[in-house]
Amino acid sequence: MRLPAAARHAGTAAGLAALSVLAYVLLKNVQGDRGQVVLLIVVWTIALTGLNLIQGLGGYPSLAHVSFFAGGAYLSAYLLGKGLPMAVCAALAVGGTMLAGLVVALVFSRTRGQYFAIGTMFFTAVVNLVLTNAAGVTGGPNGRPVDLGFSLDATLVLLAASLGLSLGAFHVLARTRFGDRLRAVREDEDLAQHVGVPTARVKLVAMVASSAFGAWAGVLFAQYNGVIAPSQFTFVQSFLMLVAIGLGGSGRLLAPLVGSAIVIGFTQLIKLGPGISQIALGVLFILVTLLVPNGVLGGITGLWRRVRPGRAGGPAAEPPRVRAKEEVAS
Amino acid sequence: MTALLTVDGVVKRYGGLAAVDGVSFTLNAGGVLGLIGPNGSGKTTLLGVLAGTHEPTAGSVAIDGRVASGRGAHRAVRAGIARTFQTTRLFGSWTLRDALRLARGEARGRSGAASDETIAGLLSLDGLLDRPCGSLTSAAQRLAMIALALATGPRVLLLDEPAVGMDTAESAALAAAVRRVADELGVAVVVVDHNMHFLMPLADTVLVMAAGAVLATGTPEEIRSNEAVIASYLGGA
Ligand SMILES: Nc1ncnc2c1ncn2[C@@H]1O[C@H](COP(=O)(O)OP(=O)(O)OP(=O)(O)O)[C@@H](O)[C@H]1O
Ligand SMILES: [Mg+2]
Repeated sequence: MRLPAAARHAGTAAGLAALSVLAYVLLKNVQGDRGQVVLLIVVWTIALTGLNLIQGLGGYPSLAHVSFFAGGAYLSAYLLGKGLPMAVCAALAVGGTMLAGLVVALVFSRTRGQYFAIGTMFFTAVVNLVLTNAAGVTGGPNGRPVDLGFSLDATLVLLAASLGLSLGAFHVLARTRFGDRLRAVREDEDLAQHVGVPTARVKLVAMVASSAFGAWAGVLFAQYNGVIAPSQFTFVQSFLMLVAIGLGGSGRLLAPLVGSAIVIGFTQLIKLGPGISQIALGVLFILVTLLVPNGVLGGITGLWRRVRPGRAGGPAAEPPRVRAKEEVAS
Repeated sequence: MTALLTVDGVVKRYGGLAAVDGVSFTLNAGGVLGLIGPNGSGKTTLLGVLAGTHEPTAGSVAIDGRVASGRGAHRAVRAGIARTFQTTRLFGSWTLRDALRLARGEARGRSGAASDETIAGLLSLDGLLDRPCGSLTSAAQRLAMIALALATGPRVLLLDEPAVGMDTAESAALAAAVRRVADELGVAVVVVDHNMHFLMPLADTVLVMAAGAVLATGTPEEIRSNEAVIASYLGGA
């Protein structure tokens, strides 16, 4: 039995609203190290919802994402320091970062796959160098304090609300033609262009949109944390963001949440010592990639489909892994 | 009356090599042009220029007198030119219906593309619309690639070796399907193929390329008996 579309969308909206409420309760009540874990999962989920557009739907592994996160954090902190009102700071920080996203998208518009990954990684390395060395503005390697723009409670409310709203925005975007176009780009960019998809524009929009999510998450993170430092925005973080999306299940609505929970959980709760938890995460990523190639969520959906009786056949919502694409001799 | 498709002095150079070296021809609605020539003679490159895949080094491609070349494949699609590829390319994990829906949506504003069912009927793909493209047989995938091109509502359809990998019965069915597309939808078709049993009965006109240039143009009968063509290409076949 399948519910009508309207009912399912209402269900999704209710679920996301409940998630926001749960997030608020946890943010408010969980203290100490665990509180930090909750915060990071919420912040990452907001940021990674953007990455889930460009990487998850579009198949472009952007390692620039942590830089957009940094952009939101540092720009808002800098502008707050100049005495501007918080709303203006937040708007300018997100807007400025989207501009950076536009530049990144234009610069790397002709690169694909690993070249795109390397290019955007380079961008993140440069941003991190600037954050570390432009001490007058950024506070240098030790970071800088962030003035309080929102009250703590306002920050918590915004974090919790943004969690649900970001995922909701993704849910809507993924169902529009924009979502289909991104999926087409991931499947075969050249073919997409040859059925009329303006691929360059689609990628540009996806990149700029993804930078907005990252920047807004950065604004909220800076507000909550009160201090920001370059070590929070390294390309290792960006790589972990990619890993989180892959682990969660690229392009799936809850991939940012599930992926963040796994990655943050590993790196924060299991304090095996610096480096070791990342190695463990790498091993986990490889295992998941081999065992459940569509991520944790993809694996669960696949399992569900197998055990649920009486739904053999039907349109494949779940893309088959093997692509019959025989090479034809020319 | 101007022709539907006007190809004027198209040149495509790769460094010192002129892969296409000054090709001109015209094609009317509903016409089928066969494009033949030895390996490496520039057929695929020419289709690429027509479809906006490549920018021409010189020359132009026009639909109804309006230049459509050199502005990218997606704009060529909007101008009414769609192509298939020598190697099968599909959105493998998508159902054919989903792929057709995307293509149709992109070509919005162009006068109506045929419906999914019409396209499936023309190409004998009935019953396969809801299967993932990647799960189709290789012959059905070749047809699905044509279906995808048709969903953009093209006025000019470019087919690069559509019969490759097909057996005699399959390629005969394909030829009949291409003929229907030209006759019933009024689409102008350019077909590249090395299989003369497939191509010659299908084409109204045949254009022979050699080393990037036009060696000969004529009806299939004229081409079959053309000395230069026999010497450079058909002789071996
Ligand atoms: N991207 C490219 N860069 C450099 N040279 C190219 C490129 N594409 C094609 N060529 C060259 O252009 C010439 C024409 O190639 P093309 O693929 O158009 O030939 P074709 O007639 O389609 O051959 P076939 O029958 O084998 O498919 C060949 O010499 C090829 O090596
Ligand atoms: Mg070729």
